[in-house]
Amino acid sequence: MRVLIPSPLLSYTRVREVAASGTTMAELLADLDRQFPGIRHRMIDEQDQVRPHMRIFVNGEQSFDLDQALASSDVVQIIQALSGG
Amino acid sequence: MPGNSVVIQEIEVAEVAARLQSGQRTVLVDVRDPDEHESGCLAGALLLPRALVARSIETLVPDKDTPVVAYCAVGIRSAMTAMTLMAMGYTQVWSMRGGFDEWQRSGHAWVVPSPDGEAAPLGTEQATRYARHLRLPEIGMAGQAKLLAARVLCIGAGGLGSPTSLYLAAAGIGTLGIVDDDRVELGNLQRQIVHTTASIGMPKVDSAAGMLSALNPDVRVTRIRTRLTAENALAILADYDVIIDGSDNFATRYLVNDAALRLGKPVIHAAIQGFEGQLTVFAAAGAPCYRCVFPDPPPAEFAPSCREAGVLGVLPGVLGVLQATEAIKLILGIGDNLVGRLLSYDALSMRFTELGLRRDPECPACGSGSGKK
Ligand SMILES: [Zn+2]
Repeated sequence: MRVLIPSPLLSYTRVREVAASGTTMAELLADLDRQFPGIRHRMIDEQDQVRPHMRIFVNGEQSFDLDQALASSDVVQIIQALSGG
Repeated sequence: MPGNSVVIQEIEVAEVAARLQSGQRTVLVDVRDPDEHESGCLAGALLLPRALVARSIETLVPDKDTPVVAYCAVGIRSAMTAMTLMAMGYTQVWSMRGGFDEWQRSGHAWVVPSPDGEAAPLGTEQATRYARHLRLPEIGMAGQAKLLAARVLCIGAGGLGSPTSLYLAAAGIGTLGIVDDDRVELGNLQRQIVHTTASIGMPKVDSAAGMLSALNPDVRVTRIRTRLTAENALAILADYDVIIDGSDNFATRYLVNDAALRLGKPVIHAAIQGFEGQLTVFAAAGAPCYRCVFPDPPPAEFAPSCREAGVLGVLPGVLGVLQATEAIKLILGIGDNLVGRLLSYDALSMRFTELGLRRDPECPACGSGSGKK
């Protein structure tokens, strides 16, 4: 499925949009981490919670649950809080 | 009009203006519909839509020898009204030739009636300056008067604050507060277009105030040359109707959120980095706030500033102009705003995406978590 990467994580992926797979959010994040080692840690803390400055959206709806089921047609967008003005 | 004993007398707008100026007793009757009247009328005109004339004129103007000038938009409805009045026995009745359109075109002063019956005047220079707004049914005279009465606070006179404040000043926002404690640097000018090369070294609030006043002398620019702190935030925000967050650091963004929540003021939020921008509106009561979306800032090592990370110069232009748009809509009460929606913009793919935001019932700022901190 399509995954949109926020600017602060472009150092991992180089590109804004990548393809990754998984039937749940946890699997998708694992696949992303295989392709771009270290990226999962930037989004998820040691307690398997989405970090408070990162937000994950599935088809435009906010998702907090790593068990959330995903379909290959879904679009996942990751957002990081930005401060620049 | 052969066979018709009633001959309508028309009067030129210049003659009406002269009568009013000389203080000659003249009752002005605006026979347009209420929505036309509300978007601008002659000072002191009675609103009496044509359908109501026969029923109400004798109550409003009992003396049938009173000079009456009827007007509408272009002079047709008022001509018919004049016939009705003459048939009813009024002896001095005129229909204003060309109507309110001709009155405006000729540059005569007009006013917008406010809901409590008082009129807010708009000078002829203002009528020209804001003519394109006045043409829009969503704005008109009443809307422009709201903009002129509005008080907007721009936090930051940097990348976002530059385009935001320029467009708000151009739109005739009556009072613009600018909070910033920096001075203009050469490296700012790639994106901070309210400043110029000549203003390098000047306090940003002074540089911005000069530019905004030059663009539109109607705007009162309040320079607040300070850094927003927990001590001063409430006092500074309290004076304004709409807060625009164009700050460049997380500490200020959380301060703005918390102070605006306490005061019940809407915040138009935008943030940028690289080629990416985010925009939303936080508008208190029941809607998500900044802490609902991002409960904590990123650790410093994951959050480079624009200085470190770089930013496309035009990016704050796109986001800042969208902030100004949302502010103007909020003030006018028109359209749908971005409350509960985050607009994410990527300049490289030239794509806008809309993300639904959720209120956090346990939010430390607006939910049950408030007060625990
Ligand atoms: Zn909240």
